[in-house]
Amino acid sequence: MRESYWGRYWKRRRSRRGFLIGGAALAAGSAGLIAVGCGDDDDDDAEPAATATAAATAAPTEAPTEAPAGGAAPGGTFRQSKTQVDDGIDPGLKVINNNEILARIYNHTHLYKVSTNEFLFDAATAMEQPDNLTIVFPMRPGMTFHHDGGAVTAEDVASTWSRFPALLADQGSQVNEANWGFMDTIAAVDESTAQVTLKAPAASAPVLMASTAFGIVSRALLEQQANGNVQELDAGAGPYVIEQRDSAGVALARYPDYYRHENPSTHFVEGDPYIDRHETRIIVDRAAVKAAFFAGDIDYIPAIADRIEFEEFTGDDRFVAKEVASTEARFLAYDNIKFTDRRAREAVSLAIDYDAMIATLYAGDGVYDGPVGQALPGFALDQETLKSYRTFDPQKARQLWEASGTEVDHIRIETSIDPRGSTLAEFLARQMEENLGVTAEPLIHDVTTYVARAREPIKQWELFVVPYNASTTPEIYNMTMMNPDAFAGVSWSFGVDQPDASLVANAQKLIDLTAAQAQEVDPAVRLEKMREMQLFALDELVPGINLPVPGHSWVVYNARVGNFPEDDVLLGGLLNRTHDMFIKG
Amino acid sequence: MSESEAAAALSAAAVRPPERRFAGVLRFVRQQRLGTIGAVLIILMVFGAVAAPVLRTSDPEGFGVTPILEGPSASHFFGTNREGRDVWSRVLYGGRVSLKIGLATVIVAALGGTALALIAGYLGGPVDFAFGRVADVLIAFPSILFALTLHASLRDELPNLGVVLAAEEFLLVVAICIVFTPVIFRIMRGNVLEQRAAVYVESARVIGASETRIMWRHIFPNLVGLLLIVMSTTLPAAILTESALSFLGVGVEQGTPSWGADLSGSNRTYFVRAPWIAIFPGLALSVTVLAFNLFGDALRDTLDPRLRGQR
Amino acid sequence: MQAYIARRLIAVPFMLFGMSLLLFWLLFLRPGNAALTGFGLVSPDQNAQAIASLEEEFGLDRPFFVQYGDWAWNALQGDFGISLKNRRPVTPEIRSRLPVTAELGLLTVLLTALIGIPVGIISAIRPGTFLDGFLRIVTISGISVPNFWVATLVITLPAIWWAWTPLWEYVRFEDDPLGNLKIVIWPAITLAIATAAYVARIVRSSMLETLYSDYVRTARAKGLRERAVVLRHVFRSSMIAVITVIGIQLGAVLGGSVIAEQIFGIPGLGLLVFESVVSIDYTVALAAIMVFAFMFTIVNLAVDVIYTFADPRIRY
Repeated sequence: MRESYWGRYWKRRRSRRGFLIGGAALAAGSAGLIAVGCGDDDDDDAEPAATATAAATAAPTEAPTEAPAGGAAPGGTFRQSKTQVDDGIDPGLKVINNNEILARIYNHTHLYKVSTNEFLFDAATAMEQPDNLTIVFPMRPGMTFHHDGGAVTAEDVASTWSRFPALLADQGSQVNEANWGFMDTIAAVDESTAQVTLKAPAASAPVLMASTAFGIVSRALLEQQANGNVQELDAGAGPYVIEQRDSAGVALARYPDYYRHENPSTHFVEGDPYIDRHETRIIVDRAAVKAAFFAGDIDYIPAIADRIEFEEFTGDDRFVAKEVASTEARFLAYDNIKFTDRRAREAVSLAIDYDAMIATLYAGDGVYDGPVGQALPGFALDQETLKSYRTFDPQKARQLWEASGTEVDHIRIETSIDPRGSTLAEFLARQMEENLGVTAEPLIHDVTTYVARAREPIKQWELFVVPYNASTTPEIYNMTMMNPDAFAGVSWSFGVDQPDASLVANAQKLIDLTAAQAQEVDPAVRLEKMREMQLFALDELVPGINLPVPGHSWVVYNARVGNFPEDDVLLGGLLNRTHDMFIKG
Repeated sequence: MSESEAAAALSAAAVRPPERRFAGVLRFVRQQRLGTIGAVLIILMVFGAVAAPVLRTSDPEGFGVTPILEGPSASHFFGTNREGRDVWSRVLYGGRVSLKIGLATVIVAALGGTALALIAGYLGGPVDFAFGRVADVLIAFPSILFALTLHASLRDELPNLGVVLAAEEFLLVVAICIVFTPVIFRIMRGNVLEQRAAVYVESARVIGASETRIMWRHIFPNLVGLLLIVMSTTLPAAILTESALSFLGVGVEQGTPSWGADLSGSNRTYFVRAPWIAIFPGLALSVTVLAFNLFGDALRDTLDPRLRGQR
Repeated sequence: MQAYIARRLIAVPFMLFGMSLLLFWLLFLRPGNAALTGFGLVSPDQNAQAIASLEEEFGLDRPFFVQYGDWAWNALQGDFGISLKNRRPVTPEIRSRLPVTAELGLLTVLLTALIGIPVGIISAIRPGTFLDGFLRIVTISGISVPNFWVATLVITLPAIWWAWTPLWEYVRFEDDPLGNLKIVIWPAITLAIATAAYVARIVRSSMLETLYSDYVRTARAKGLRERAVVLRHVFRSSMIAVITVIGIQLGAVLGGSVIAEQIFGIPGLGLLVFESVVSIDYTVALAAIMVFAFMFTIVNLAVDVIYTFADPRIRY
């Protein structure tokens, strides 16, 4: 990809912070997102890939191969935990609790490494954009599938990526349209060239295509399946094969025939990948996960809650603990059909003491957030502007609430058992009771029920709290929550099929504004359009409120892990970017 | 011992003044040391729960009302948790939930179980058979599992009952009652059958007493002692079940102080750093259950000498 | 006696029928959610269509008794259908998890017997002594401490103090028996605290009862040594009560496995039950709970049968 939109955008940026756009990857995080129904892939990006150089904008900060002394090949077993068994491992169908498998058993045309803004090429050797509607991938020779050793061709790419619409329509896929809706056709020009035609210019397309959902599945194997998916099969050609996958956990071993990359990069190293085995154990209980980490039984502890928990690990040489840019997001959605009067929506917003929220829930370390999340600082609105929308005024709230004549007198705030959401819902319930003079209750459900609750046609709640993680593109970050074509339509009653005229008008406007910015390939113009979209959502308070988020995120891992991708891990990078990681000693 | 001495002893016994009011209590205290300790602990716990609004040092449900995750100190006896809530205050309020649900469950289950036992035991035949089989089925489920299932399926069906028992609490009571009622039913039914065969019931029937009258006026009073014993052993079990369900996240409303719930959820993130938030709610729960068990043992010894020393 | 056993055996299928019907009904109180459980994750415009297709696939639109009959017929043939959540067949899932929980249960019962019985005997043969009093307090404390609290402390405190925790990589028993036991022993001990204390109390009381019975007095009178009296007569007759109690305690162990497996990361049936029940993945929940109930019923039946064989006084 020469000079794609993203390349140009990122080049302008200097601060490293901005690159750290987070993703979920951590089981809890992705569960949160999914929650809302679309399950996008916040966990993707940045995966094994190859050669290189194509996009290498920044000089690598670490030596690519920090091999241990003695010349022995680095390796070892990397151990981590997750809270639940996966629901299946077809990359086009499932994104929950399976990232560490998808990212390693499948290969991808390219990956996106957030921290250095690089596209890393794996199954493809480059990404060419002859015009704004075409993306061409020349395929790397020598790749073979695990199951039969057959070659990976452009045909496999085409058939894999063409499945998305059918998977969504017929099989309830968790990978929603925001992730692939920009593609019109995918064709194999010849055995080693895949070509994607876009419906309209799509600024985020190259980054979106670097997600786990785009892992290349064997067409031959797919055709043998009666149900048209590879839910339980290793149909990939990635660096690892599944050795064990059951209710105890997952073990992946190195695929001996994994192809070499001719020109190793910071990521694809000589003799790659280094790690010999990846083991993921199912541990449900948070106290147990921590105990296991303290005892050195697992190498990485996901989902550090806050700085207070982070401080437990600092100053201990057994661990490396690093504070990084925030990758958190929190959305408070209205059931819009119950809040058709703008005054009622504003009353809710004014009844929330945002600064108290930051002070208590985030222990003082928090920032305001807007429709384009704070993890994309180049696009996001500045804190000043956001602060003007996040005022706390109980008197005015009470007045507006009464003036709106709303029939709501009991506010049920639904969220999942994710601790980030449950405490927040409790906090918000208390704010509503104190400042709006209504009764309120937090409703905490397991993830499955919570998703079902979001999607029921008639909602059994008034407000809905979604804790989730940042992503690399505006489309699948905060905007997924807000776009009537993504979650908002079905989950927050914010769609053009609703009976209320003002609601429909707002929804249509937001759809139009969202599309306008997504198709704009000139960064400066896009920024303008994006601002317009954001201010509209903020002014109208639809379809919800982007609540303040913690000011930082935290990465903690065992010091025995070398080349740990600490700047990429929260995006799912750890799970993906394994090639140059190794276990010391 | 001469005859006259024996006669004197007899007459002395006969003319002994009626026992003083608290003699029974005093005898209990003298003979049942452990039971007394249990009783004292129960009184303290009940007092703590009732007087929680006075004894608390801060709002147990507030946010950031105390410094976060501070160790036990003179101002925060049990330390504070992540939300900046005083653990001592939460333990006091948690006692309210446990005692309330425990008592409600035991009363409903004991009365329900006994009533059903009387009906089944007395009517006999198909009614007895039907009740017995239903009880068999209900008892065959491990209690936690059954309560979990009940909770999951009834959760959205129940109305809010207002101040006395919140909807979640009511649901807990229903779930735990359905688990304990059949157990009590079984015990009581056996005794109803025993009583029914007793001579005094036979004689009542001979003089023409109605079945209903026999049931309520003759048999039921004879079951009261046993009923008290059953209740005293069921109460700690009910409290444990309640806390286990709260621990599993199917208990009280998010944020409501509860011993079980305070040991789960986001609190588990901070156990390593702040062990006091793990220790004190569990300790309060254990001590309460222990107190009821001690008292229940002693009560059984006192009320039913045949069972003395058992269990 | 044979008649009694036969009667009990005949009752088993009826019990299971009743239990499954009750469960089926309970889980069907939320039919709407059952349909949504399958995929909260479909796209907006296909929502209604997808729900309809799911209902058709799982036959959720049929009358209750038809659905039940269908389920029961398949279950009888060992087919519990497929999970609503992940579309995986339920039976193999249950089959892989059952041995894990069974092992935990057996180990717990074994520990219960190994600890509970000796403690009860020691307490009973020296009634009223300091040791007896001490053990009584220990046992009554044992039945009062909630297992989830003990489990929490067992994983948390050693991690703070010694950077040690009873959690290591879970290995299956068939792969590495010793390594597996090292993991399962901790949840088993946690669960066994309450059951062992309970058994100790029963052993003590039933032994005290028999120690002063006529036939024991006769045994003493004919000059048998005390040790022989205790072991040959008292203990043997008390064992009957103990067997019963251990059987009943299995229910507590199975319920406790829900908690212990969660905290100690044991991939057993208890964890599956919890996850499927809270998410109303009803095919899985039904199957898993029925397996639990079946084990419980069978154990109780076995206990009753042993009881009749062991105690000649009992005649049915």
